Amino acid sequence: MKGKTRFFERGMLMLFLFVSWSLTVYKKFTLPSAFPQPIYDFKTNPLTEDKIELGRLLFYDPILSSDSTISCVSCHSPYNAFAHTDHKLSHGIKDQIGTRNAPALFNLAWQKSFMWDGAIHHLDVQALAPISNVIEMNETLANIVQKLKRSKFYRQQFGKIYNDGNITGERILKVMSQFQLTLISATSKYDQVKAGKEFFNEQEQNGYQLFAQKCASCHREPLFSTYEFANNGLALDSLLKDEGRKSITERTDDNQHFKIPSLRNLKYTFPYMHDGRFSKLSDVLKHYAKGESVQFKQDERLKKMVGLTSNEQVDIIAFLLTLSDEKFVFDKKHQFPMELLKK
Amino acid sequence: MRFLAFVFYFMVQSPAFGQKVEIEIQVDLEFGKSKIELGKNYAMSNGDFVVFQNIQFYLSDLQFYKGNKKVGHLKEKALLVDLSKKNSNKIYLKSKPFNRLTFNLGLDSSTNVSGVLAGDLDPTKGMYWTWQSGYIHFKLEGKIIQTGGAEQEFVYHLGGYQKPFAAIVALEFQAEATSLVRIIIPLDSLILQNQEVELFQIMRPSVEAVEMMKTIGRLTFVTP
Repeated sequence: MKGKTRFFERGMLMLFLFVSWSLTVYKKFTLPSAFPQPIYDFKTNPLTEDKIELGRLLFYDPILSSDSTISCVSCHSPYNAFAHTDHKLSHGIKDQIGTRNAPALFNLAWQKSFMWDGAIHHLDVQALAPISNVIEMNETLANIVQKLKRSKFYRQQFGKIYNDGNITGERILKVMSQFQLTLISATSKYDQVKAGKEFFNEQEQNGYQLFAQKCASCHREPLFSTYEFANNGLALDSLLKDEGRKSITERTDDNQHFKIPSLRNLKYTFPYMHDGRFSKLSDVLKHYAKGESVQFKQDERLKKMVGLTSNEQVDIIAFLLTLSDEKFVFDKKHQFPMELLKK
Repeated sequence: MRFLAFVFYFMVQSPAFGQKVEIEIQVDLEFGKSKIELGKNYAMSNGDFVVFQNIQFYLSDLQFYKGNKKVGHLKEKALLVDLSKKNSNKIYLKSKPFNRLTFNLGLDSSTNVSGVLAGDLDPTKGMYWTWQSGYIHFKLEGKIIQTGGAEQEFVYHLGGYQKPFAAIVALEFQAEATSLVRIIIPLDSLILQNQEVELFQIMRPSVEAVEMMKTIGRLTFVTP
């Protein structure tokens, strides 16, 4: 009998430990109730408060670039929903201009590929791309490891988290993922309406209905993207000559296909499109309403957009602005870590 | 009685009795039957010389069989052989007697899509592509010095894990569990063949990368 009791106690202890671990993993990661299950496998990189904070430090620290002038936040500002404004194309070290508009960073746990062309298939390795791009940060992960090892500040930071205090490429990338995974946008007016806490006005409601008919096949609720790749009928930029997804897959069918962006936070993420060619939402809607390129004749999803009246365009924009998530954009947890000033 | 015990002890310790034996597995690249060293000139059969400046590659999923029965495997998923790092080409392990071994040149798709990994698979090792996701299975860099003095550099970064450009090569060899098992990759014909068709650069998953990995696989052999 004693043996049975002991077995039961052990079982309960194991259950308690498992539940505690699960709660730790999701402590900083509140799954929005209306969202589907995330794609990111948290078991491989369980979130902890101190790792998220270390990830935030690295995200804001220009030490990641070869001349210590560019940090992740240079192109992914919190006030722009972690996209950037002022420039059509992102810019990196020595004022060099890149070839694409920096995408916004939020709800990353629900995405299976990254970058406009989907070149990156896992969040944990995403940072390698901008770090090593000669125009962006022009640095190597191996050299970043050496720079961090030379820094007393970072030796202490890693020492607080890892018993052996070792700084490795794997750890750097995983803590950076941890911070980015906490960038969740799910508190817009739209979300409040869906939760029954607010109401759309007449124009927003009309825009929502139009959106559901015309736009939702690519920009599916509640993430407002399928995160697939599509050619949305933009003319090829004669200077950039960006083939998008085709440059990765080498499939002709993928020519000028780009990752469908989420429509959340458009208020903060202008300019729009992979090359930032439209500075206003009204220009974006006009592009779809005009339907000038051949894709509008071939793609059923685009056909639906052609001929939208100016009133309909305005109503759709009114709805899209309900996807602005002020709480997320101005959340202090995501902003510059004051700890970095102690370096 | 003591004598019998002595005989019994040696019997059970012998590989024939199924006990584990210490084995060194050494992976060597050769040119003209000489072990390749970085920065050294090697004479090609056409009179030119070749110099290797960087060679790194993954050997993964090393397993040992006796007949059809698996009797052991290397604990680590993958080993990064890096000619600039002494002894990175050597594996020490204990194994039950085997007569067949299998391994991959390169990394499987599961490893390629598992995010960021540690040890020999850490992206700081220079074997993870940054412009797109995925590991480089085999890096081969150097130059050919022609008889007239002209130099032709070559850079082969062979990777790819998705069809039709999945470039991993699965190999299988008959080999006894002796104290030293050598895996040898001679590169003479590969370098000559590439020079003849003027193929000096492969830096993305492609048909050429798949074919070159297959060629390297065909050239590989195992010897005691």
